[in-house]
Amino acid sequence: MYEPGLYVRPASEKDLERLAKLIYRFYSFNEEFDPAWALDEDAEAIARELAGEYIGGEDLVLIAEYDNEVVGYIRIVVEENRILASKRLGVIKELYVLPPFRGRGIASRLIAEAQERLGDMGVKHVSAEFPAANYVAERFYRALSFRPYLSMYLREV
Amino acid sequence: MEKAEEKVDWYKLSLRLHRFYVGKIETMPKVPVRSLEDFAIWYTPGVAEPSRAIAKEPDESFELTSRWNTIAVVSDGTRVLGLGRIGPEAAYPVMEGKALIFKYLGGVDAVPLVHRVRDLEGWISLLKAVEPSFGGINLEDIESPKCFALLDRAREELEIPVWHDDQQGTAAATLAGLINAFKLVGKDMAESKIVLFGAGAANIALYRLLKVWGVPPGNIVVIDSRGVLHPHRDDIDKLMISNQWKYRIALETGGGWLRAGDGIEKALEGADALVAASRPGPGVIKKEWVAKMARDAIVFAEANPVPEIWPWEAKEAGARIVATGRSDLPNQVNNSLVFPAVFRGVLDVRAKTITDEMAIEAAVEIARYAEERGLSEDYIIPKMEEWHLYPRVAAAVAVKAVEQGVARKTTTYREELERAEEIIRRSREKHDLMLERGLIERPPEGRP
Repeated sequence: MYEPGLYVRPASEKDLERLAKLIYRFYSFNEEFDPAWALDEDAEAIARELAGEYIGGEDLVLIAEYDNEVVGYIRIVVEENRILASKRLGVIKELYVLPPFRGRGIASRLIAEAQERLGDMGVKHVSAEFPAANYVAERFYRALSFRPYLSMYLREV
Repeated sequence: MEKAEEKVDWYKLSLRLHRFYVGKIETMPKVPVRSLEDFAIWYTPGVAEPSRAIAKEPDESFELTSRWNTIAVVSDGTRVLGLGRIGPEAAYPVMEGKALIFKYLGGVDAVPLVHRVRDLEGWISLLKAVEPSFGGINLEDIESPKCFALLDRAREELEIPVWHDDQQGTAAATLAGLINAFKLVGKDMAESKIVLFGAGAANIALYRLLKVWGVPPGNIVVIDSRGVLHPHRDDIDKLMISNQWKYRIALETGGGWLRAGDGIEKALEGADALVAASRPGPGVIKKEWVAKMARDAIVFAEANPVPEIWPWEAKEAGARIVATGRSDLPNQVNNSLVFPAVFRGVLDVRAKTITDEMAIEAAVEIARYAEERGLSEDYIIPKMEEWHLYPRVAAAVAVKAVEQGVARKTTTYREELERAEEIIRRSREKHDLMLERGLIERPPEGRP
């Protein structure tokens, strides 16, 4: 089922440059969907800072390695709400796989591995955020049995 | 320059004759009306019985009405010829012209259906709503990439054949030409480097047919206005959203033997064949580029009215076989060789769809027909006048439909060949007879 040569692991210091590139590509892609996703002019440098913060930070950040090359990542933030019975929710904030490596189940594998880790942490639900107009993402998550859960609307202040 | 002047004449003449005839097709009775009493058979009260039979079994509509032989030529007028988004009314003469060809070359009754629906969902519900009236749908002159999603969805959701001629018709005619061109130069198409220049309806459909035919995706490169479709292209993520067909080609081909950012010039180095379906030339494809292609290069320059490169230029640059979309040049890649015959075949077996394999079968039969007559560098594809071609293609397509289990009726090649020949001959004879009798008026004297 899974691609041979594919390895998923937590991001570490040696991934900094590659991770920064993936973060930048993820946000550049989202820029398509709404003016509110427009990037800061220093986005590339900021992506590098973010990569540094992600590595060893609080969020769950996993790297997909394919034939020893970093080809994708996932970042999950665990949000708390103690009035809810479930208490904690894992939210996929970022997920990106380099185009030449798509269609091999790498994104699904990243989610599966992350979900396992969330389970170990006692988190009962995982959700995914993506731009409302990204119908490809919608199709992808639906195919993985995600269901519509939360709507987010936006306007200019 | 002379050619340009001649074209202006066609425009003027066409407008004058359109005004004179006020339409190119009409409906005609095909049953005897011996006296007005016969209307009791063809209309009430008698007609209630066929209606009851169809109510019980809707597929009987193919056997008791003209539905079996009637198709709609449907357009929203968003990409008409080279004229662009000129609207449904302006698309009408084109659809009517298509209907005329359907009848004359394929014996198919086609009616123009131009409309104002633009969005995909609206289109699909329109087609589904009118499905009971027709035995098939020919989509025409619809903007890309909407046309791709529309064809895919319509094929899935309708129980009658849906064909988009700008995709499948052009692709099948091109494939027929390529099959013979490769035969003539003695190369195996599946092991050759093929460059598709232009990523619109025709070439995206051709890519799909080449794949089904057996060319490995890595041997094909597709180039759009921004360069080769390649997984490392800067705009690849954008393509995933804006044009999933181009996106998939980029991922499947991996950009072939090229690097992201490479363009047509680089792509042609060592390539065995070029199929350009891009924008009118000349000079879109340069001689210097063709000169760098492999030996015995094959060049199809299909833009109209002027091909991307003139045939003589391509030949001077070393191309061995050149085809264009023009009737006044050798090797015309012409949809009209395909669509009348494909529909003749599918209508005769009451097919529910037209698969890619059926389109390929049409291409193979067209190629075989030319081959039997003797291939040469100036004859790789038959001409429109070779009307024995049409029944043969109809028969090949019909048999394939039966084989693939998408036909409501069964047939054999021989049986369909005879039936198609009879239907097409009759259709031409009726026209010729009416012309002879003056029931179709001769055009008024004097050219503009």
